[in-house]
This record gives sequence, structure tokens and C-alpha cells, in this order.
Amino acid sequence: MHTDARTLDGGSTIAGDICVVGAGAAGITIALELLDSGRRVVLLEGGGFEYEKQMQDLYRGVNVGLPYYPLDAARLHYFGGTTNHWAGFCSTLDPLDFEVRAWIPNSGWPITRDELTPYYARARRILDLAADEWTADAWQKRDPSLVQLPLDPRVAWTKMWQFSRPTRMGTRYRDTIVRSPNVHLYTYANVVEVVPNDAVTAVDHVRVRTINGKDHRVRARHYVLACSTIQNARLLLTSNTRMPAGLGNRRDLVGRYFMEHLEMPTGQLVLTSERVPDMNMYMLDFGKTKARGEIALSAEMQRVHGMLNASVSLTPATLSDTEGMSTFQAFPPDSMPSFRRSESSQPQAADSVRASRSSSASSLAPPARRVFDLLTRQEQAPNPDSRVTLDREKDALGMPRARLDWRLTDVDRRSFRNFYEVLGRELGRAGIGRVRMRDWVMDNGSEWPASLGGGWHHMGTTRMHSDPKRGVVDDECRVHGLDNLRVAGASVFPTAGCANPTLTLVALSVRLASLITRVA
Amino acid sequence: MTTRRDFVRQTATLFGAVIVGTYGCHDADDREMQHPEILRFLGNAEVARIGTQYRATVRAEDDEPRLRELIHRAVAPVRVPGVARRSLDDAVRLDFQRGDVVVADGWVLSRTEARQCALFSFDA
Repeated sequence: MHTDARTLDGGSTIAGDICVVGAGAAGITIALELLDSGRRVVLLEGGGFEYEKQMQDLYRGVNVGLPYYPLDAARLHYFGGTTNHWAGFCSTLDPLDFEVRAWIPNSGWPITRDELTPYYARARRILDLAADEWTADAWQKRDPSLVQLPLDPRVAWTKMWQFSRPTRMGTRYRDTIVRSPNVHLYTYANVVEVVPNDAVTAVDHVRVRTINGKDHRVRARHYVLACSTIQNARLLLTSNTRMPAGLGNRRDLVGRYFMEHLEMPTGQLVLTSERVPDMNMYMLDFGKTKARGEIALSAEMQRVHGMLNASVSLTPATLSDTEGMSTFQAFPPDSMPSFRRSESSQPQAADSVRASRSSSASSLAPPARRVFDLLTRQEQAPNPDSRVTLDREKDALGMPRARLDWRLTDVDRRSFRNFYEVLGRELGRAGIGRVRMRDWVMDNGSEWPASLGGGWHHMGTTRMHSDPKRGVVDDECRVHGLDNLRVAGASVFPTAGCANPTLTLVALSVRLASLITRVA
Repeated sequence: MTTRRDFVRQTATLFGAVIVGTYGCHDADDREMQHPEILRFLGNAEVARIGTQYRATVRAEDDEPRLRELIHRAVAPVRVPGVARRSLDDAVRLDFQRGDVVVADGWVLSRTEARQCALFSFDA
């Protein structure tokens, strides 16, 4: 079922068993998992079915930290959410990502990689990925032209990525959801406040406001916030009628630990051996390649050298002294309007643009590829000072805008250098080639270079931890202290790993739907 | 039957071959020594830049004879008689295995090949 909330009489009350706020990757996944569940699901989407400037403006915010993309360009505010312009890059997190790592403060998830495995399998199908295979051996068996570099697994390995079409969840699942008898989608239904009961032990209702000035209420037995990392935090912080610091924020944790993936041109690889296999395993032909490998370092090396997790993609190139462009530099301000637009125009996500650059480079490269540009995707260490707060300016619905203070730490910087020294040594030992790192990687200073870039991946503002002193949600993604409020999406990630977040957040959403059906 | 004259001739020939072979090998070593394998892939200018930076960083080795001696010493344990290139390759591989690497002009290199670059940079 579908209703445009603007057409309801003002002051309407919508009732259901489960209210899901946000219809992006997480919200749509939960709705899909609850199809035919016998529960009445109210799915609230702030925008409509297409990109609209007025609705997108509700996501505009302020950047006060390190240089960052305009916030209204980084997320899309209509049915399908940011999957309307994602590039479909998927990989799983590694077992080490879930562990407490002594060398990374505030690391550790309250769940393990194994617990997520069955949910990854389901997420893989939702995102239309080719197979439940995440090892290079398995892909090499499927396609003998994909040959791994002969790396010592104790040091380095080939981490596999798969590529979604990319699936635009709004297009792909719209009919399924609209035709569902038990899921009722409301578009143009922006939640402006989550209102708790008097004792602040549970959510009583959520307040919905439409752009044409109507206010509604939604009452349900269970609520899920699934409106993206920045918006989840913004909504909790702005829900401050009964709790001045915001809902779920007794410990001042909501909005903190905002994380990005540092995606930066970091160096070059020159193959020096005639015996190195064809590099097909590591090449990407965007739109055609189903899977490819990147080079990552082993858990043991990360431990020994105190590194964050990272993986490196290879793009055919020529020897160069230039520093390369970051994703920020690749998107000058005047390109942002096109980035905000939908799939009906050219997909402009960072990954897709980079991928198309890689693709053209690949087709121009000489047959004997010897030189490769190395682009590193590294997690950032969880940092409480990297945070989302509320700005004084309000949007058209009267909600304070988000204010992002993105910050990095020394370990983020140091980790790049350690990574490249270990990688360079291993590729030399294996007789594969030589690695060159960019000047900024070698530099021990604390300033970030102009090529600082992020992956457009927002994570961590409502982090998961069993201890309410250290996390906003528990291991079942329930907001500590509020029995019937859960959070879905990458905002619950305690650490980021080096994999793009969509596959994992969809897997967590499948898990969350499963948990909620046990109690709803 | 070997006559005394034959014996002297054969012995002289063998001795000469050994002498020529030994000196020839050293000549080859010397040539190879200042032409690191990575020269094929990085080119003269880059190798010279690496070498210059190495010499600037490791001042104690900013000296041609000293560099030759150090490279000889690195090659000695893995020396393959008469095949200088292979010996150097083995020394480089051994450096990487031991973790004896240096970073010069951004390149992560074995100590031996960095020294080769340094030697190369004297003539570049």
C-alpha cells in the first residue's frame, strides 16, 4: 500500500505494529523482510519517488571539520535513498574488524563475523550480487582467468569485492512494497521528532510533518530509525522535548564517532617479474566485472604493526610523480548539482566515476600492464571528537540542520605508512614488484594532504556496544534504555573495516528484522 | 700419452681460463652492481633520483668504493659463480625476506638495490 502523506487530513494518526523511519537500503530491507509477516508495517519516507530539490534541501547541513562533501550531495532524500546513486561496490567485513584491537581505542563489536554470515547471504541476494563466495580461491575456481598474486597469506591476501548492478532499491523493490498488503508506505512523511513516554522508557509515537505544513502521528509497538548515519543522529538529538540532550543520549554519545573511509591515491606498483600472472583478478570493467580482488594485509600484520584495516585497488597507469586526485578533488563544487540528481541522469557516485576512470584507463593500457596506481581504502579509527551535532539554522520543517565536524587522528595517518612498508616488503619478497608511496604517506606531519578524500560512506554516530556507557544501541541495535526503539544502518557500526558499508548494513537490517519479529 | 709439453700447455690454458674467468666475472659484477634490475622498469632518471636520495640520507655510504664493498659483501653469501645478475637478485630477495628494506624517493626497496641505485647515481 502507498499513501502520499501530504494528502492525509492534518492531525491524522497512523497506527501499525512496526514503524520504520526511512526507506533507503536499511528501511527497504527491513520492509522486505517483514513482507507477509503478519505485522502491520508503517514505512515512512521523507521524499517521494523521484529526486526533488525541495526535499533534498532538507539534508543540507554544515561542515565545520576537515574538508568534506556537501551533506545534501552525500545522501539522497527519496524512496530508495542513497542506493539511487551508489556504485554497487560490496565486500564483507573481516573477522578482525569485529574484535577488540588493543591498538585501536574503542574498537570491537558486540557481535562476531560468524553471526553475520547467514545475513550476508540474504543481503547478497537483495543487492543482486553474483555469489556467496568471498574468497579469491573460490572466484579463481569459478573463472580460471582470475589468478591471484603469489602473496604469503601470513602477510597479505587478495580480498574479494563483488559489484551490484548497481541495484537501485527504490526502483527494484517499489512495486513489491507498494503491492504488499501488510507494508504501508507513506511518502513525503518526514519524522521531525521521536516522542517517548513520560518515564522515557519507550517511544510513544513519532511526529510526522509534511512539506505542505501538515502534522501527523504514527503509533506503533516498535520503531526503527533507518534514515542514514547523519539523519539518525540528527533525529535523536532533535527529539529533545523530554530529554534536553536528545533521545538515547544520556551518555553524550549520539552523533559521536562519525567515521568515513579514507579513500586516497596512495602510491604506485611496478611489476618487475615476468612470472607474475595476468592481472585480470584485480581489474575492474565497471558494469561488467562481477568480482575482483584488492590487496589487503593479514590480521597478524595489522596486529604486529598497529595498523587499521585497509585494502588497495589497482588501476593501470604510467609512472608518475603527481600526487593524484582525491574523491573530493574529483568533484569540484560545480559538479555537485549533478551528483544530487537521480539515476535518471548519469550516476555520479564517487565509486562509479572512479570506476569509469579506471575502466577507460584499463582499455588504454598496453597489453603488458606493468604500472598500477594504488588507491587505498582505509577505515578511520573511532574518534569521539568526530561528530554530528545540531546547527542553529533550521530546515523548512523547523528541524535544526546537521553540523558535521569530521576529524581524524594520528593513527589514521601513521597506518597508511605502515601499510605501504609492509606491502612493499611483501611484494618485493614475492618477486612481484616494487611499491612507491606518495610523499604525504612518508611525511610524518599531522597535516592531511590536499588529496584527502572519503568514500561518501557515513558510519558510527549511534554506535553499537553492550555497555550503555560506551554505545548508543545494544547488540540487537536497540537504543539503550528505550525498549521499543531500534536503529538500522551504518550509524550502528562501532568500527568501519575497509569494506564499503552497504552490504553490511543490509545484512544487519536483515538481522534486525529477524530480531524484531521475535518480539513484535 | 701426455707429454711434458702438453701438460705445461694444458696447465697454462686452464690457469689462464681461471684468471680470465675470475677477472671477467668481477668486471661483470662491477657493471651489474651499478645497474639494478629495477632500472629496466623505472628508467635512468628515477633510479638516479633514488640513488641521490639514498646517499643524502645514509651519509656514511655516500662513497663509491664503500658502496661497492657493501654490495660485494651482500652478494657474497648468495654468490652464483659467473652469474652476477642472479647473485644480485638473490641478495635483493634475501634483503626483502629479512626485512632489510629502505624507503628512498617513496620506493620500498631492498637495501642492496638501494645501494645499487646510489652507485648508479654517481655516473648519472
